[in-house]
Amino acid sequence: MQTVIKTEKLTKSYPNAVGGALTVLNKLDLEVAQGEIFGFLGPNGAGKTTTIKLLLGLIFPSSGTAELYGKPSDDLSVKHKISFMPDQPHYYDFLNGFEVLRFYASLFGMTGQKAEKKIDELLELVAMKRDAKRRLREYSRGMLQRIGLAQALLNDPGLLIMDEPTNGLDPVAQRQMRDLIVELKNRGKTVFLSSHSLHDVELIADRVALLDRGNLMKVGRTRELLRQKEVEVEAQLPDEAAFDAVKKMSADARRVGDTFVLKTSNDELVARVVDLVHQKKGRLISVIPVQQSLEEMFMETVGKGGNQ
Amino acid sequence: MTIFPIARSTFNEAIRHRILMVLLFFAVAMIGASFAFSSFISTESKLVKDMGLSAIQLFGVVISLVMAIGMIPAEIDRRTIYTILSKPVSRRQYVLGKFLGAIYTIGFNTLIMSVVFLAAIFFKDHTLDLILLESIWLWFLEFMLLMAIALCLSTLVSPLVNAFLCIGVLILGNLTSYVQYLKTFQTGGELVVSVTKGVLQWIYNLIPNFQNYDVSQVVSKGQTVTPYYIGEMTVWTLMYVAFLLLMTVQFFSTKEV
Repeated sequence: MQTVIKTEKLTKSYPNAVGGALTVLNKLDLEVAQGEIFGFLGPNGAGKTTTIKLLLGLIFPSSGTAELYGKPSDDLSVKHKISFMPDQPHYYDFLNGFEVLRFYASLFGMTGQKAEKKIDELLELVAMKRDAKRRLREYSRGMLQRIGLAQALLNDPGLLIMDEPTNGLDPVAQRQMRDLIVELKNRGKTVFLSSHSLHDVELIADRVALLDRGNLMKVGRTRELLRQKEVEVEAQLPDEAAFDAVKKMSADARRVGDTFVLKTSNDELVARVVDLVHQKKGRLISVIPVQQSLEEMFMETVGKGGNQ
Repeated sequence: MTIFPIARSTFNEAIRHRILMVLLFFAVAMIGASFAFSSFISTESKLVKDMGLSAIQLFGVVISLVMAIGMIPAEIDRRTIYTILSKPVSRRQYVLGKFLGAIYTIGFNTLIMSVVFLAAIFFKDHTLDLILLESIWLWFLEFMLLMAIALCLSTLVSPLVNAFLCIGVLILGNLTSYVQYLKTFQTGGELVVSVTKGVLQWIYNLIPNFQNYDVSQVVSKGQTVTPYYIGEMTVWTLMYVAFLLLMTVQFFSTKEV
């Protein structure tokens, strides 16, 4: 599969007040393959926006390289294949939705009926057709995000770089945005998704990278990174003696009416409790492995440094 | 060509800019006032011509500076530039587009002021005094040059510093004949004289002579400027502007946004 984004030892430093250098991104090695949704996570100041700016050629690396489709990220020909949706709505607010899209279309050399047809399609896709003739300054945050997405899709990009796409959206709009991102992936697009919304990323990202204070902490398939935390056993027991026997095995067992619930990371204990339930002629309701959430993994990784 | 959409959006934004429109309104009001004022005190149109040309120059200079100083920094502050430079738009095209948009704007403003001004003269003299266009054209060249200077500096310094520098350049540019005069002074030691002369010569060579654009006193008396002079000024200004734009592109290509 083609590598769409590749960074090698990508570093960005700024001179600080005492004559040294403040490194905001430290030797980042990253590869993003075509057709995947890649979640890019990290707390504030982790270096996410710096990475995006480096990928877009808005700032320049202190050392290392950033390539898009095998070419340097500031190569103009690459810009035809990529698109960027910023976190804050930064568009000309004196224009209306349609005019903004026409302006961005003209930057791709799209004019006339071809541009208008494409704009109509995209307005339909982001459900903004009805409000297309209103000025941007009258738009809500969610409407601006949708116009932002439409402008990012004008060139039918292979790679879409999204910075906090669900930021400021209500739950319904968040869901719609997630569905749209998955739809884009289904159409073969690569989505580089920088987000604070760990829930969104967990739901849709194929792979994630976790950045903290400029350093890459973790990268990999989402499910592989999230370790199995513990197993939850729920069973019905016939009498008090059986409950006492479980309690003896583990003080963490919690009684709820005529059932008990035990959460443990000890596999051997799980096996013994299940045996006991069978022995006592109880009814095993469920044995569920509980996986760590992305949020827990995030907190475990970056929380250690006291960043959050 | 992506230069033109950027130029159009720059122009469209500028003509909705409240400060620029207020300045244009004051310029037009001042030209109108000069006409009204002259009706009471004189039958000659020279007062209207002098005041009108001065208004065009004054407001043209202010509009040019306000426009060119803030143009790129505002887009960086608002981060509009992110979505533009992430499209297939080179930094060179961006700078040229912004400058062209600024030219459209100052051209539009100068046109409005000129139409009102010529109309005022027409009502006063009942003739269309097209000689005045020579002065207006030279003012327009001056505005263009000032904008190129401000745009170039805007890639290097903050808007406030840029404003001070541009005003400094404008003052020095209107005093270049005095700079030549100052070079004739021989006070102080040999080293002081030679360094002073060197600095003054450097200022004289580098700073454009804005006095050359002022032919208002000639045309307001009904005399014309030679076409050769206007042609020479036009070519010289365009060359200076081209050099400044080259520098701007160079500075902006390494600027982090």
